[in-house]
Amino acid sequence: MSTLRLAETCFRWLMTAYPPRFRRAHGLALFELFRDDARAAYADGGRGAVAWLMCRAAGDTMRAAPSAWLAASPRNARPPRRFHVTGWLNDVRASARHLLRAPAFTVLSVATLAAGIGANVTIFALANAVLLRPLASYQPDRVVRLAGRTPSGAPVSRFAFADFSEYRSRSATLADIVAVNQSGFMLSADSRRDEILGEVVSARYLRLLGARIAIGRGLDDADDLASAAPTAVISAALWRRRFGADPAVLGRSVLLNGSAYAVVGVADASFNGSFVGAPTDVWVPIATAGSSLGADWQTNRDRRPFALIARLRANASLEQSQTELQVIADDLARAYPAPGRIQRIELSPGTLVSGQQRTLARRFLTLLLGLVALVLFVSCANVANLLLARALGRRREFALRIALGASRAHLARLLLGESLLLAAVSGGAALMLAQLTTGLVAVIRPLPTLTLRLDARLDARVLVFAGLVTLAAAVVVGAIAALQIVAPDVGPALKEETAASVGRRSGARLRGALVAIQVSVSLMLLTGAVLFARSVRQAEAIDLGLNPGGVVVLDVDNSHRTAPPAIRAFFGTLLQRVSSLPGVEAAALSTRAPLDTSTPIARINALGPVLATVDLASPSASYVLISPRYLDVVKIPLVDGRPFDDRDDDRAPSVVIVNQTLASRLWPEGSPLGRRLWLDPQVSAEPCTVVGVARNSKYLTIGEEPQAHLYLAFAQHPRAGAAILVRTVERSDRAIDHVRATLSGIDPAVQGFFARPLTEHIAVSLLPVRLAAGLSFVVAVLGLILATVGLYALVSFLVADRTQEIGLRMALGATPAAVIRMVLGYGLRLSAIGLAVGIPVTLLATRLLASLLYGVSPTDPASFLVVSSIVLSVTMLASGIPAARALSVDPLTAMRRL
Amino acid sequence: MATPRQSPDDLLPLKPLHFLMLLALTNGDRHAYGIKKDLAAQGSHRDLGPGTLYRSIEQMIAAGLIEESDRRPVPELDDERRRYYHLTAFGRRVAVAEAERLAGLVRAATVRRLLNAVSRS
Repeated sequence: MSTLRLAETCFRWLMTAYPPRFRRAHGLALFELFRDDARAAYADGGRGAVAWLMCRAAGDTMRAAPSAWLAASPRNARPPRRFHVTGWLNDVRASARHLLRAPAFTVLSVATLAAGIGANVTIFALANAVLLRPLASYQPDRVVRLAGRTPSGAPVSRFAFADFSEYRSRSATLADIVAVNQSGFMLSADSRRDEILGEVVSARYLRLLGARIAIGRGLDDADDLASAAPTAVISAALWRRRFGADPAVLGRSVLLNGSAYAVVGVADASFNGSFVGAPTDVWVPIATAGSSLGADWQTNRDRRPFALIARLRANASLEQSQTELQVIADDLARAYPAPGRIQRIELSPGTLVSGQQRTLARRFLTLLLGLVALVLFVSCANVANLLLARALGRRREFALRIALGASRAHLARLLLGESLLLAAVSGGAALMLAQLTTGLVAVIRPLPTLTLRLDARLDARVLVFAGLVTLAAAVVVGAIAALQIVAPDVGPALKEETAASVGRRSGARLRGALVAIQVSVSLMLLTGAVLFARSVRQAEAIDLGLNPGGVVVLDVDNSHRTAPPAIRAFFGTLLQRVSSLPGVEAAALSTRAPLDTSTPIARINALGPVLATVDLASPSASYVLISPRYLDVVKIPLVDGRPFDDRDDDRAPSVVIVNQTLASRLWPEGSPLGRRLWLDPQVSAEPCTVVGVARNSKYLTIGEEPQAHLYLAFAQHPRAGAAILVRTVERSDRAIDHVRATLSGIDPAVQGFFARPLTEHIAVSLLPVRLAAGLSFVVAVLGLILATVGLYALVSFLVADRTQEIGLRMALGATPAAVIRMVLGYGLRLSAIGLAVGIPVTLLATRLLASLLYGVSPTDPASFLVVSSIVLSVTMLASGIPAARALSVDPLTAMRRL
Repeated sequence: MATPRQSPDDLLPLKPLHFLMLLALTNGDRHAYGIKKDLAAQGSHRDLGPGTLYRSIEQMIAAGLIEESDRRPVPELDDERRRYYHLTAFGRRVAVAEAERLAGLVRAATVRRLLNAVSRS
């Protein structure tokens, strides 16, 4: 029953939106009608139905009340239109005059609001670039990304080419579907080499996304034929940077990873490809570039390099398409069972990020938007406070206006107009600010060789958002200020100003409350920042189980060799020459450097072969293929058995090194040495014998729990691409140069990519939490500064306002300590209230951060203590300065003014 | 305010909601709740909120289409709490005029085979 009573109370409150005359005439009937509805709704659908009814009632009120007011307005009697407009214009003119007359106030307010609005616009521009802005330039809502989930619920966002072909040929609901894979290229032209990022795409990719072509042509269907001559479309950026925007680039032949491609077109600068932050510089068709993915790229269903993007047919709905693709996915899963098979297909909007990334990005950006919204609130409260302080000074003016017949509504309008004008100017300033800041935050450099750049330009969507935020700020500021002014007592305010008539009581209480709220908000922001900073520290301190210092990594792409003996010979020579370079302690190969989230996972079985069909739920472990000295290079100690050595080659029986977790899981009793282990047949056709047990380390991410992992001998399962890891005493850049030189000395066609110190490679996995820490720190500092300014202004105002009283007290013998106590006490009381409210609220709010933190509890007491003391000391400072000023009040001067 | 000399055509076209409310009153006086139930029974304006309802009643009274009724129904059907509304003669003329206007539109659509086309699909 209490639900109903609550609803009735809410409705009574809603009814106050109607004019009194309407309420007198219909209020009772209105209320009874609602009550009947509410009871019926409660009987039908319980609380949910009542809540829905409540929402509808609110909507109903918003529609009906304004028209009732219009009808009720006495102005209805006369033609008010023109008069109204001039009234508004006059108001705006008056507001502008007022603002210009107090430049310090205006500049401070505009700066404060612009900081708040600018922070919101910046974060929204990021969210817009990543989550909202469609990839395609025409009919973007018909473009979707394909993703799916495996039976265990793990997200899948990449597909095998063979599966892609199946979807393409069988789907009737998709007008088109394209595959795209991002990869690195070494561009050689004019005897210069540049490392660039490119996309290997279906020829229709550019057309599907509506990419405009600046000069030349895009890719077309003919480029998709295996027999087609290799063609490439380059980005406008590359064209300018590398070819001096020379139109003669069309038809030129350039080397990409050692193969010749003819440049046929330059894409418009507005087109950036479909990968987060990647400045894609070249697009080449899969048909000619696919072989770089491995010899069996067309048939191997276990290699899933391609992201799929599709355009729905005009008459097909998302649901229809999803159902149809699901049928195809089911057929594929039946025909080719494998652990990573998609069980459930999912279509997501065609925006920059998809799948897991999208979830993470959305959580992160929503959080940031929440934080900056708080900052905006703090700035609004500040400006409202400033307006109030000024308005108190204008009380006599207002009282006079009222006495002369101005309506209170008119006064409220005056104030609202003033805050609107302020906000509009601030909104403009905020846009300029955001133009700068988006440029700063949209560029992230996770590796020295890799710059991620988001296209966070301020497009129409961002501008609309900026407009809405500005309007909201104006309404909040104006409403707070107007609330305070509109009910002054005419009588006392009109009298000669005396200490008693300043009317501080109610005004001061509201302003104090605003400041206390600011203190709690900045406590929240600061706590978030401290928690992030601490989790960066924690993550850095996590024991990786290996030593990345002094190691450099280079990805080697050797895809033009397909015969295992040739691959073995090449890598053998490479390791031998690199090992003898000056300063090198050891060099090794691995299919993945440590802490790579793309490390593959294989099913394993300690009892018999892994069967393709029945063992979908069998245990699994991540694995890498390594050359003998790998464990030395990354300093992972063996706890049992031996490392691989040169005898573990293709003629010897297959061997495997397991980690401690896997060893204890498979063979809880007895030594694992000499035991046999079966893997997915495509990983290893024959069972492997365990020769060693390596200590646990981190394999995919820093935050992972101890997980099963195994090492196979590279020589027994050679791959065309591998990372070479070199432990050296040389400086890393010099070591990298040496390795590169060695590489091209052996075979100039082989490319080395993404050279980086291993420490930086590992730092990439800390990128999200680093970003969160950095951004939330900036936001928190902004919030704290604003709150401090607010408190400072309030206490200063208090001191100025009570100069006479302070002078009187001092004349009557109050000690300086007593005066300081009075002023400081006021400020501290406010911040204490702010903390008392802020701490419990923050305790609740930080729970939302839990998923982004490493090894720090969201309610970590130490962080709270630190933050509370920071906030307290800053507020102490903010009220201490005005307190000191209070001491300098000269009793005589003050008394004279009394 | 209602001017008796006003022509019904001045008020056309009526808002659909107002027209339906007039129709609901053609069968005799109703209270607001009754009007609301009648509309809901026809399947239109199911979400009609009390504010919109009373605001419409006010507007229609002001336009002279309906008036508050002082006749009450038989006591056992009477609901003391409620005020009853009554269709004025002017309101009836307006409702008829609106109905004719709508019928004209329907005829025009039929002549152009729009309605047949719609009913086939």
